[in-house]
Amino acid sequence: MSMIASATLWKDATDRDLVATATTGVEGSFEELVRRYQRPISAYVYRMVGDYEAALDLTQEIFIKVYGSLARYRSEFKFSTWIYKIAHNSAVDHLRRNAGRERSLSSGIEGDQYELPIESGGLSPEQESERKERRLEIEAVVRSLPNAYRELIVLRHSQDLTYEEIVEVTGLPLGTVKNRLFRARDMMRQQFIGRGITSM
Amino acid sequence: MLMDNGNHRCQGEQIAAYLDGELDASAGALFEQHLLECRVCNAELNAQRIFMRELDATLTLAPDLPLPRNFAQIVAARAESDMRGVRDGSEHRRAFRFCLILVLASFAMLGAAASKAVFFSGRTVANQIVGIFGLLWTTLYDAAVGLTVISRVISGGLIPESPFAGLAALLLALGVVLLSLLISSYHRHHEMRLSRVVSRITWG
Repeated sequence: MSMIASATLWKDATDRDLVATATTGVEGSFEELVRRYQRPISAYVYRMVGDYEAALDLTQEIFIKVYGSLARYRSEFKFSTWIYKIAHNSAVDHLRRNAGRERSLSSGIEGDQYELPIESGGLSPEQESERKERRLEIEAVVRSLPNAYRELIVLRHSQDLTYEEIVEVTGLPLGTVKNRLFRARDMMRQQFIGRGITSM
Repeated sequence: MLMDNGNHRCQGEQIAAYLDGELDASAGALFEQHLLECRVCNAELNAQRIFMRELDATLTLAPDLPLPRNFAQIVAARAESDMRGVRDGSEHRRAFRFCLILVLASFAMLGAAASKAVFFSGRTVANQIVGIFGLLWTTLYDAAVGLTVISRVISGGLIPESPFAGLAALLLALGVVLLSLLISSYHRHHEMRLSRVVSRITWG
């Protein structure tokens, strides 16, 4: 079956349908799940680990884990939350394994970084340049956050997860999530002030 | 985190939760009521709102990490060829039973193959035990034979080799017995006579 035909066939299927069919071994259903989540998961992992090659490897590893755990997926939970939980655990494991490298990442020496593209949306060259500069500042500040804070900022602002979903993904109590998010934002604002950016 | 506004201490997390839309209706209404009275929280709310808008704009709009061509296809193929998952509990149990049967069958076959060696070693042990008992028996037998030979040699020195040797030995034994009887009888009579003489002298 060609890629286009496969994508068309599964277009209207829900995540739960795809999981059910993938578990019974129907060809193409898992591929559609990968297609749906490859971008958000790879972006999340990249933001967590800060290394392009590692993010690609981890993303692949995550989908293999997901496929291996499909039989254990319970349909009362949102599939997206479940897959983020697996991605989160894999990213945290990776950071633990590479604690030394992670320190170098936070100090800004890491080499294999990729500049994430952003749509210009009809801005003037000056505005675009300013926006790009601002985005780089924000990305740098996000990278400099401790893991415990960075993961919450990424889940909330990049992946747009609710507090409840963040609780499910990270396994942290709701109070801790609220508190850490507030502290992380406060820490970031202080860093912006420290960098001379007062408009935020 | 607490913020001091002079009169009381406000919860910073409440502002963040309010902006994130995470306060329920009653908590939201209470917080809005509080905002009307608290200038510190109002200023903080505005600052956080601007900051979060900027953060959302950057972090949600950005990222499409460039993925290799046919990434989904490749990953799905790799995942599907990875046989570590997608097996439910009953399938695991069935696989376990098959493994158990195979293990038992392997042990049985190994046991059958090793039985010759086991029997051989058993026979060797039994032979060694029989050998030890045989040695003990031979030692005892030889000791008995030796004693017999020695006793014969001694008795051969005392009793001459003749057809009447047995009769002579019997007569000798008889003689010894009779002699001992005579000696004891003599001593008894002698004591009786001696006692009569003593009594006569005494009564006299």
